[in-house]
Amino acid sequence: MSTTDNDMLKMLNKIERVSPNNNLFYLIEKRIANEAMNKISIQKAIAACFILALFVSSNVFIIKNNLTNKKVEAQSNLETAFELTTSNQLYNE
Amino acid sequence: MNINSLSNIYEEYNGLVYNLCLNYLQNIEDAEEVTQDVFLVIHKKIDDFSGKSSLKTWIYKITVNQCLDFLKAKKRKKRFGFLLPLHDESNAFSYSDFNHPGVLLENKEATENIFRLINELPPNQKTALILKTIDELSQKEIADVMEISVKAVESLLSRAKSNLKEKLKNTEGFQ
Repeated sequence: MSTTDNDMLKMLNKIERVSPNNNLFYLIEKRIANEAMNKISIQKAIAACFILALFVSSNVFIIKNNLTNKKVEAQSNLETAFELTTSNQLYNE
Repeated sequence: MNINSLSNIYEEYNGLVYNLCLNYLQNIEDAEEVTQDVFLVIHKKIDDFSGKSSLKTWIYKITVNQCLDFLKAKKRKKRFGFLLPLHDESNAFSYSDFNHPGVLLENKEATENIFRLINELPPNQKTALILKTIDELSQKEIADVMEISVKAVESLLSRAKSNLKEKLKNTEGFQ
C-alpha cells in the first residue's frame, strides 16, 4: 500500500476518544420507563378480547330473545282479536 | 434487568459504544441517539445473553447492528421523501453533517474526506476497517464481533484498503 494510503489510515489513529454527554444515561432511563408504561401485556389484551366477546355475544342473545318473544306475543294477540284457533277441533263447538 | 445493573454496564461500556457510534456515523446527535438505542437493546436482551462470547464482544455486535439499522432507516426516510430515485442501488447510506468531536480541528478536513471515502465502502468492509484502525481490535476480536472467520476479516481488510486506494485515485485534490 502506498505512503498516501498509509497516511490516510494513520489519520484515523489520531481520532481521540471522547466521553458522551452526562445527561445520556438519564435519557436512557427515561426511554426505558416510557416503554414500560406503554407496554400492554399480552395477557391483559387476551382478557380484554374475551370480555368483549362475552359482552357482544350476550347482547346478541338478549336481542334475539327479545325479537322471538315479540313475535310470539304478536301472534297470540292476533289470535285473540280474531278468535282464531290453531286447533282443528271444529266439531267440539 | 434492573436499572442498577444497567447502570454498571453503562459505566463500563458507554465510552466504547459512544465512540464506535461516532466513528460509524460521524455526527454527535446521531451517535447519542444510537447509543441510547444500544443500551435499550442491552436492557431488553441481557437475559438472552448466553455468555458464549464476552460481554464486550456482544455489546460491539449490538452497536454495529444498531448503527447499520440507523443508516438504513435514514436512507428509507429520504427515499420516501422522494429525494433519492427509487432505483438507487448504491451502497451509500444517508449520513448527517460531519461533526465528530474526537477529530482535532487541524485534521478535520482531511479526516472528513477519509470518512467520506470509507462511507462508500460496503458495510462489512467499513466495519472491519473501523474496528481495526480506530478501535484497534485484533483480527480475532473483529472476527468474533462480525461472526466470521479470521481469514474472512483479513480478506475484508485487504479489499477495504484496495477499494480506498482506488477511490483515492479517483478523488481530485486529496493530496
